[in-house]
Amino acid sequence: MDLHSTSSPAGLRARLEALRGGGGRLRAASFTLPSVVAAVRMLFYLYPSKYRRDAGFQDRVLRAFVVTVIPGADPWEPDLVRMYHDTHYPFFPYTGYLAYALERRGRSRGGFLLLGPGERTRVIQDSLSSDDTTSRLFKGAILMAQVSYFAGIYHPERGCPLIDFPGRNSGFTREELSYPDAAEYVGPETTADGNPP
Amino acid sequence: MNTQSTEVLVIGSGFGGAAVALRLARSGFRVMVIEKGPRISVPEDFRQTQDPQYLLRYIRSLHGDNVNLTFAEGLGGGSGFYEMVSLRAPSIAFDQRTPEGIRLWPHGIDREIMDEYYARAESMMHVAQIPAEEIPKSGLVFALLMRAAGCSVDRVPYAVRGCVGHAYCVAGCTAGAKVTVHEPYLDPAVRAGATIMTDTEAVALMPLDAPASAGVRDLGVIPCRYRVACMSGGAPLEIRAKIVVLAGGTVGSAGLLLRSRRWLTHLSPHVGNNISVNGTVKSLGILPGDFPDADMFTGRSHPGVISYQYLASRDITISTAKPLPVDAVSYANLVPEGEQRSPSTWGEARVAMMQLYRRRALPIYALGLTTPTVRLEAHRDGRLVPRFRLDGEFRAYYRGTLDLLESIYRRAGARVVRIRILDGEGVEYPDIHITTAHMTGSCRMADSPRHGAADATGELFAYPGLYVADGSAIPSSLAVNPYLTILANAERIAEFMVRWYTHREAIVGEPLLSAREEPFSSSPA
Repeated sequence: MDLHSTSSPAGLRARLEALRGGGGRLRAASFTLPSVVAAVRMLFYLYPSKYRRDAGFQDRVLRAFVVTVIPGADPWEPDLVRMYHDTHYPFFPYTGYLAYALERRGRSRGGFLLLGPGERTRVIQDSLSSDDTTSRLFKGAILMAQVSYFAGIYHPERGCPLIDFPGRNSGFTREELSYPDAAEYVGPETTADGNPP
Repeated sequence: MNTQSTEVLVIGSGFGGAAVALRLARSGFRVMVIEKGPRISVPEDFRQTQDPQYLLRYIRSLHGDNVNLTFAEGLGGGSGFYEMVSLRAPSIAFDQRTPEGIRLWPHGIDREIMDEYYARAESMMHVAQIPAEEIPKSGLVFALLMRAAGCSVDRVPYAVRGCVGHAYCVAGCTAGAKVTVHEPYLDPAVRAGATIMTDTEAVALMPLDAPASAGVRDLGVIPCRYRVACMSGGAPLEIRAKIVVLAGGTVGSAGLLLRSRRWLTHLSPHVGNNISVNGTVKSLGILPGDFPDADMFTGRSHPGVISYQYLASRDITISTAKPLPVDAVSYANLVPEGEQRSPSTWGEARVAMMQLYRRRALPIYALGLTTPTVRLEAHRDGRLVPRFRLDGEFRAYYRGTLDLLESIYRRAGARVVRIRILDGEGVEYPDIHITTAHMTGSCRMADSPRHGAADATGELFAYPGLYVADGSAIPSSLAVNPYLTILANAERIAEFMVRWYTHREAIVGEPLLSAREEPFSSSPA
């Protein structure tokens, strides 16, 4: 079987699988005390229920997180944080805890929502270098944000204007696809039919 | 349990299985094809999307410490998701040898012999060299980069008709321009009488007690020699067959055999071993300011050109690619040489990199004639794990090739970007890590059981009527995309089978037939 050789969803699959399984990988992150505490809190919902049940509050925290991870993302984009609730992807069991962790880690300044962009960046950086469970939670959250936003998975017809990814299309004009005088770019060829000798 | 019987059972519907199914069905054999993955109607079932939900429906992978093997499951196998690059393997690929000096390919199979089958495969797949004016911008800029570094390029032949360049080749061509095996092979096979069952997985293969049939050529006399236990749509199914053709790919075919080892007591120790990864080495660079824009998001996925500049001297070909955003963000950290790294994986640095990536980045990669270094480890629970023997030779190849690729960027004035491949946890692999869909050789053909699992006709040593006709039979790296060689070799094997079982006398590759007249070894040495 011959797929594209230089890029493949293999890495994506591995990273999604690492999040999958009812917290299996996150739960087993490590057995250091902070890591175990974080895993127990996350998996047994041992954090204030408003982070799970107050959808509006959770939404605001998660949006603040995504626009920090992807500066320039439209904070009012309706589907900006949809991937965190999408049961087709493995992150959704941890969404409430992510909101909680963000707010708790920003509480010295009143909470993540009240922080400026630089301070939010530091919170995320600190979380990535924190205990194993927290670090993996944040890496997973960043991956989900990037896959969803840059690849435009909920809006394939639009793609991602921020990086000029055109998304679904019916093909491009010759001017868009290629340059004039293409043969001059190629130069003298070494074979008659493109096959190696 | 539902039990069916057939003359020929083909397990897998990709390049290898499709060719055998068509040729045997057209010759009057009763052929049944089973495919583990779902039915795919081309192009109706394909979508232009980067949604992992869609991509991972068809794309599978095996993860090991130093290697990821990627493959497709679905009707047509990898043909729905390949890049259409249709290259014959270079002559030197067929002359590769083991460290002991043993030729990897069986005697009598070389480029000259294969050219006839390549031509047949190319005709079936409507292969044509890309006209210069259809080369996408990234291909032209790659050509410019290579020429600035003193290297030539050639235009690549593709299996495509009427490409519109929407860039989603590897998600399945929604324009119906990509040639898959459906129209040229599978559809006519069905018209010739073959039956195809999708969502049907072969889980075990067992020989039946049957009179010795080695050398017997009359299918009317040969009894059913194998039974294959399947799960079909969630229900058990048993299929009995006189001939079984394994075509589930390098991973699938070896996996089935390894899981069936308790019944296949004479199975070659080569099964699951000797896997080549086609010497895949990847690099990325930022174009110098005086270069025109490349373009990662328009045009066909493989951008049209390849360089044979280093084929003779270093056994590699060099080309370029166009991974779409989902790959770029999930596969690796991209770190420009000399740049502060943190937080390059996210935040402004990542957005800036993705914006650069759109028009000013250009990946180049090498494929090379590296020796087989991977084996499949079969666990009791059925899992397969690829193990990469990262020896000094491969390390030297990898380092030397990466240095060469980076030197090409530098010679052209481009800035090198380090690709730090990520593991499942999003952590950079500390060592070499190869991701490839070009794996071959897990049931490799060889001149004798001492050196491979199957003979030159694809028939497994010690198992009359049990054939491999997919990438698993290909004994070596090829330094080009392997599909055309897999397909051509399947055409060759199918031709042999037709001639053998229909008693036709003349045959291309006569030595193969005379070799077949010799009695089978009862067990591999």
